[in-house]
Amino acid sequence: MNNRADKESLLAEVLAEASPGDFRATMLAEMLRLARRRRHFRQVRRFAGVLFVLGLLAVLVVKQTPKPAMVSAPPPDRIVKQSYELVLTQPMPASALISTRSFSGNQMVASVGTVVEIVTTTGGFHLINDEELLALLADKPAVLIRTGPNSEELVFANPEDQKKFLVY
Amino acid sequence: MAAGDEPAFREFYDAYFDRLLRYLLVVTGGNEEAAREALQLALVGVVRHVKPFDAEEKFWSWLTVLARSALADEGRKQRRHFAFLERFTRHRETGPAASSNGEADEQLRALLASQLTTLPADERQLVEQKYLLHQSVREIANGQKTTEKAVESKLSRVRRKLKDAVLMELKHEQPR
Repeated sequence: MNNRADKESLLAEVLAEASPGDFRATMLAEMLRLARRRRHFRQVRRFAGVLFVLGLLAVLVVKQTPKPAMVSAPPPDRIVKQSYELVLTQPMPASALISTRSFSGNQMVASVGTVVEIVTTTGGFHLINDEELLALLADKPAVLIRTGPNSEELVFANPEDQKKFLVY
Repeated sequence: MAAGDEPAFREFYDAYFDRLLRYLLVVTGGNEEAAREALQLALVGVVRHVKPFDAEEKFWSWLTVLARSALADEGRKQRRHFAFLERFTRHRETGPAASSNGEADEQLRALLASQLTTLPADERQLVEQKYLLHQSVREIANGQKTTEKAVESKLSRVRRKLKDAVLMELKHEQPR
């Protein structure tokens, strides 16, 4: 048995003898399963990498784009109360304005010449006593009642007579 | 294979499965179970770490490194094989590439040829008829006036006998 191929064939069959029948097939199936899983994992990883790069680009684009200016009201707790009240004014129309001017000479009225001056002088009268008072009454019945050391009251018998002596 | 091509893995398997197993049988000193376990781990390593090589020799060298690493890992896991591990370590120390370049196959072929000579005449004749003269089982059965089944059964026994003898020889050989 000198032929190398013959020896090889015999060696292969001898070594395969009494080996588990499905050992070779099982190993091949396991190896192919691992290869498929590895290939699938690589595909998923590549796809995830592409997604990551795309996401990164999207973020960069969004950050580079200028945002429109937005006016936002300050939060309520940050409103500062002013210590003054703002009042808006505007000029009044000409028709609402009142202007003054000096009168001409003939329109002026002087009141000094028409005033009547009354001058009073002291004296010309005197105090009368009780008899002189009663004499002035003449025919009008009346009685003088002393109410105190320095006070007296004149009482008319007819109240109508009293009205004739009232001085306003 | 690096791209995960399935037909490439099948081609690899057909080309290297037997070769790696024989290599591991020699490295383990005929420990068939350890060789199978290590082969399984090595094939997993191939799937995970395969890469392009510019020459077949480099690829085979890489495969043998994977196989020996797998064997070492398996040996560490199975403390009961401490003696074997020690032997394997000695083997690595004396020459990790001693069986790298087809030497394992050559060693096995030589052991097989040696064991063939120890077979009884009728068994050796049967093997020669089948594997040298390429006679079919029917032709052998007709020539020996027996049944095909009997020939098949006898062939199987002889092959098993040869295998056990070869593995035993590997165990008794000094590590190379």
